[in-house]
This record gives sequence, C-alpha cells and structure tokens, in this order.
Amino acid sequence: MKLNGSDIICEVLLEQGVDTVFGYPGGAVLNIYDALYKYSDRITHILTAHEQGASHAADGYARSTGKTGVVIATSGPGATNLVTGIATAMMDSIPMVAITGNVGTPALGKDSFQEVDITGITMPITKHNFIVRDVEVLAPILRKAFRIARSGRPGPVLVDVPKDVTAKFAEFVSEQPKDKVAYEADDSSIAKAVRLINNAKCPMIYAGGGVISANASQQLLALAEKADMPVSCSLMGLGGFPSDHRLYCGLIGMHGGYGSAMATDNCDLMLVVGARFSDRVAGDAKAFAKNAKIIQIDIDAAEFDKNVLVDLTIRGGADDVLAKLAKEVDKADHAEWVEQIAKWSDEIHCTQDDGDNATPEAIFAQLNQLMRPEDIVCTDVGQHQMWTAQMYHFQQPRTFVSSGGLGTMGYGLGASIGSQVGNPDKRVVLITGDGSFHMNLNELTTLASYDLPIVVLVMNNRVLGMVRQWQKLFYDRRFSHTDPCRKTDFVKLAEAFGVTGMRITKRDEIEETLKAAFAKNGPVVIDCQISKDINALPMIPPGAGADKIITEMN
Amino acid sequence: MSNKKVLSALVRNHPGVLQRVSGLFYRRGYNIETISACATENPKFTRMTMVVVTNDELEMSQIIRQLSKIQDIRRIAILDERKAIYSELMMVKFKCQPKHRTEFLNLTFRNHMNVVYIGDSTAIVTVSGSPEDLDAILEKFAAYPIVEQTRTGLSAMEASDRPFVEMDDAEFIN
Repeated sequence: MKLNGSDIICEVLLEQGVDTVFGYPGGAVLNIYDALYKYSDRITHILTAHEQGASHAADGYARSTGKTGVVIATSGPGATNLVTGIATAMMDSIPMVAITGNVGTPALGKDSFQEVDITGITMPITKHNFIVRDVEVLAPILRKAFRIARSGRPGPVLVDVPKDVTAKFAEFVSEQPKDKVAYEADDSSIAKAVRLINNAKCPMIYAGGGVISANASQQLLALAEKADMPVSCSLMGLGGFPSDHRLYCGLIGMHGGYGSAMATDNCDLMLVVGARFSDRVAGDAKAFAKNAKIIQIDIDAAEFDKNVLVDLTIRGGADDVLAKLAKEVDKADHAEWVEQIAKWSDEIHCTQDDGDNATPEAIFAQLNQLMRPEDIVCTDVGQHQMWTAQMYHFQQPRTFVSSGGLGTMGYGLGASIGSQVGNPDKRVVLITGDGSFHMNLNELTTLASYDLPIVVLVMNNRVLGMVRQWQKLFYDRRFSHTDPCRKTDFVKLAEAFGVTGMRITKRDEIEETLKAAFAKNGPVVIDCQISKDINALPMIPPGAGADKIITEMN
Repeated sequence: MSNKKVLSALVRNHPGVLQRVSGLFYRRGYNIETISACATENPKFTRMTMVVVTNDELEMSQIIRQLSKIQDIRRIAILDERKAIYSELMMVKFKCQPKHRTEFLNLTFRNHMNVVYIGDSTAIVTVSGSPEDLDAILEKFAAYPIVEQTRTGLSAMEASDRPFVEMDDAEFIN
C-alpha cells in the first residue's frame, strides 16, 4: 500500500507497539501532526508546554513502564529543546526514540528558517541517529531506530525527517518487530563466578540500573537469598531490591549509608550487576572494595575496566546471568556478616530535627505510610533527590524515576507526566525542590490539561540547597548565588495553572495535608516549607572513603 | 611505533561516520595521531585507519570497546605490527635553487621519489612508505628547506591471505 511519510511514521509506531507519544507541533512536523490526527484513535499524543518537558515525559514513561518512550518535535528550536532530555536518557541508558522534523531536503544546509543540524548536535548524546533523506528508507530506518534503542544497553536514538519526506509517498509493507538479540553469558565465566561466590566469607552485591532495565529484580532476589549476600543499590538501582529485606543495606556511594560504605570496604567479594562505578559511587576508584575480589556483570563490554579494575567480567543481560548464578551457587549462610553490616548501619544516624516545623524526614515517614509498593516516586535533582533515595522505602523496580548520570534539574515534572500517563492506575508523586521546580514548572499546565492526578511535593527551603551545602563544606560558607531571594508563592502559582495548591509548614500538618492531596484525585502542588539548614546527610566527600563520612554539619 | 597502535576499521559508508569516530576520540580525550578514511572495493563500506598514541593497554582496550559501540563500525581491530604493511603518501615542496638541481634530482632518484613539479626555485616530490621511512628520507634532504609538506596519514593492511572482514551487507540500510 502506498503511504506518505507521515502515515508511514504512524504505521511503524503501531508496528512497534507504541500507543503513546509525547511532543509539540510546529512547521516542519505539520504533516506528521496531520497523520496523528488521523491515527488519534490508536496513538495518544500528549502535548506538553515545552519540548524539554516532552522529552523528560517520554523518558519517565520509558523508565516506569519498561517500554520505549517516543517524543516528537519540530525542527530548529523544537529539536534543540530535546537535547537535555536526550542526554539525560543517554546517561541513564533509557530506551527512547526522538523524531524531529527538519526543513525540506532542498533547503537543508542553507540556514533556512528553523533549520538546525540536529544529528550533528546529538551525535555525542544518542546511541545512534539518522537523517532520512529518502522516503523509501523511512520505515526501515525507524524500525532500526527502535531496535537500537531497545537492544543491548538501551539508549536514545534520534530520527530527523525533513518535511518533504513526511509528504512523499512510498510503498509500505507492515513488519513485525524482531526479537531482542539475547546475549548468552559464557559458561566458563559463570562457573568461575560461582566458585568465587561459594568461597566468599563476606560477599556483597552492588546493584545498578542494569537490574532495572533487564527486569532482573526477581533473579537478584533469588541469588541474594540463596547465597545470603547483602545488597546495596546505586541510585539507578533503587527499587531493584526490596528495601525492607534483611539483606538490604541501602544506597551505596556519596550519600549512601555507613553500612553500605563499610560493607564495601570490608567485603571479600563484590558482585557488581549492571552498574558502572560512577564517581558518585566509587569516589576513590583505586581504594574501592580494596579487600575484595570483584565480579562485574554488564551487557556493555565498554564498562569493564573503565573506572575500576575487576577480577572477573561476565558479559550478558543481568536477568540471564543472575538466573544462572542463582541456579548454580551453593546455599549459604552469612548471618554474622549480615549482622555486622546492620550494626554499622545502626552506628550512624543523621536525624535533623527542627522542633515543630516540618522536616524531610517527617514528610518521608508519612509518605512511606501512605504510598503503596507499586506507586511511583519521581524526583528532580538536589538535596530532595538524595533524601528520597535515603528515606523512601522502595519495594519494586520501576517505581523510582530520577535523573542519575546527568543530574538534570528540571527533569522531574516532565518525567512525572510520562510516569502517570504510562501508569494510570498507580499513584505518582513528584518530590522536587524549589530550585529544580522553578526550572520547568511550566509543565503544571500539562497536569491541568490532562487532569493528571500527580502530587507534587516542593521541598521548599528557598535556597539552592545542594550547591549551598557544598559551599558550606568546601567554600568556607561563601554562599555565592545560592540564595535567590525568590518570592514565589507555590500555592497561588498552582492555582493560577488550574492546579490545587496546599502548604505544609508544621510537622502536625503533614499527615492530613498528604491525605487531603491524595483524596483530590487530581493534580496538587504542596509547598513544603522546610529549613534551609537541613542537609543531605550522610555524605562522603568526593574522592574519599567511608572513614571520611560526614554525619553532621552547620 | 612503540607507543603507537594502528587500528583498522571497516565502517558503513555514511556521511557523518568520520565525525562519529573523531568525535568519540575528542570527547573521551584519546590521543589520535592520524586518521584516514577511503573507499574500498565495496562502495557501501569505508576503510578507516587510525594511529592512536597510548602506552596504556587499558586505555587501548577502552578505545576499541568504545569504538565498537558506534553503530556504523562493522569491524575494528588493532593490527599486529609484525604482520601488517603500513604506508603513507608524503608530498613535499622543497626550496631548490637551479644550481643545486642535478644534485637534488639524484637524491630523489636514489630514494625512489617522484618529482612531480619543478619551478624556478622549488620542486615538489611525492614518496610513499612507512612513517619511519619518510622521516628518514626527510633527514637526507636537510640541505633543502621545506616550503610545504603534507602527508596522507597511515594506510595499513594485514599481510595475510584472508580478508580483514567479509563484507556482509545484509544489515545495510540508508
């Protein structure tokens, strides 16, 4: 059947199982939007306030559902507005396909109106990208884009489609998507790993985002329980292991617990799964797990020996490798070691009280009561993100949606839109800070338009808290530009957008306000006023080890 | 070539593929001495030869692994120094006064060089060989000031009967 390029795009989306896309129309994508009008019974398009919001929404949709997120933007500024969202997805290995319009092929390279070389711009921040100059190859390129985005270590792929290509006709024959290529781990490295695990006295697991992206939480739990190995999660791994489990020792890294840090220093075997020893985890790469043999499981061979040299590498999907290990290892009992880690965890408490006033700790205590295990928590970037990682009780994978690698302030609101759209039956809460929220709060209008029942908790300390915390620690309290003296009234702001606004200032208001917000079943912003002197603690300074852990400040 | 490694890669002949490769070297801070790209016997593929400067085996394996992730790269390998043939083309414009011309031409003849242009006071010669050969030749011409010089960068091939890679274009689109 002969179809024009825009219909071909919609047909390939359907073929790939896409029923939801995020985006913003414009001149170069008028034909695509005309097709979306025609396909609106099968493809839901969510219109955001800004293309950046759409890119984060597609990312949040992907993280929370496990499907590939799709975002559409016009040429020029539409395309460049996607850049931060694409880079965020790249750093956290999130499958995403970005479709951008461009000026017609005859106008390319002539500095035409709203023309930009988006494939050149996004080359370092995509897994791959394409410009489609011929409608005949549009369908195969789009299929390949989805295949690349999903396969191996996932990531974003951009497809740039000039306007004339969206109008020209080509023969279209539907194709079923090809199955994922499975990476079979080789038996000899599995056998070696099994021997190392069986011989270990004080083993531990450091689990990262690869556990989530490979849907390997069940396999991780099975291995940890059988071999009695304690588990620490990186920020990206949160939710990959139930936080109330006796083997869970918490977040690992700069803002991780003392238990995780001491376990890392003292273990004799560390099994690393789908994690990359980022500088936020292995602050001192040379001393990281210095007493341990390290086994690293990853689907991306380029992660081996990149930051930390390891003793054994296993290339494969976390699901497959962990299942094999769980089957082969001996049942073990490391009760003493597990108890020792629990003792270390108990040695350090960083409670930061503020009298009758609301504190992050008190808010999270309530939130942990009110949220169901399958509910989703999104964050922005900063102190509130670390509080969430430290204090929220994650139980299930894909319930934590946060920008890890790139640390994108302004990510959260868009991501929460994608999470809610992809999971209409789950409760979605966005934890943000006043700094991050100010960056992209325009998307409140999207919450109102689609009546998305997202509850936004703004941890409002009126300063740029995380930077200010570093200024306290490392810049002799010279608070350069971290106290912006903003006068924003978040309750009135919410109301102006057609969203319910609420406020929490005192500790005893937390429970009733949260309950009232959830009962609304519509978009709510809660201005949570907290002290600017509550810090994200504990903290291990950059480049240091567990012995330098900071437990109090001010 | 002790601290240098020669990488040979077969890549899809797309516009932008050179940018993908050179961009990766740039943003990861790898040191590259020369990079050359050219057509092959199959128009769908380009052969790239890169000379990478590093003493660090780990960095070298990182470079290979990172390059392998570029979708357009079909195959990449470090050429075995003992089994590979290296060559590059050098073109030099020397200052050469007419009174020294005979002596100059004799020297070019003894070094198997092609004289492609003779001007009033200059001459352009071309010569190909390994980078070391070319450096050695330049030393012999120390008496003749260089006006301009250009080199193509290294081209290399494994000295064996089998091809570096079978060019299979089943996966080929665009």
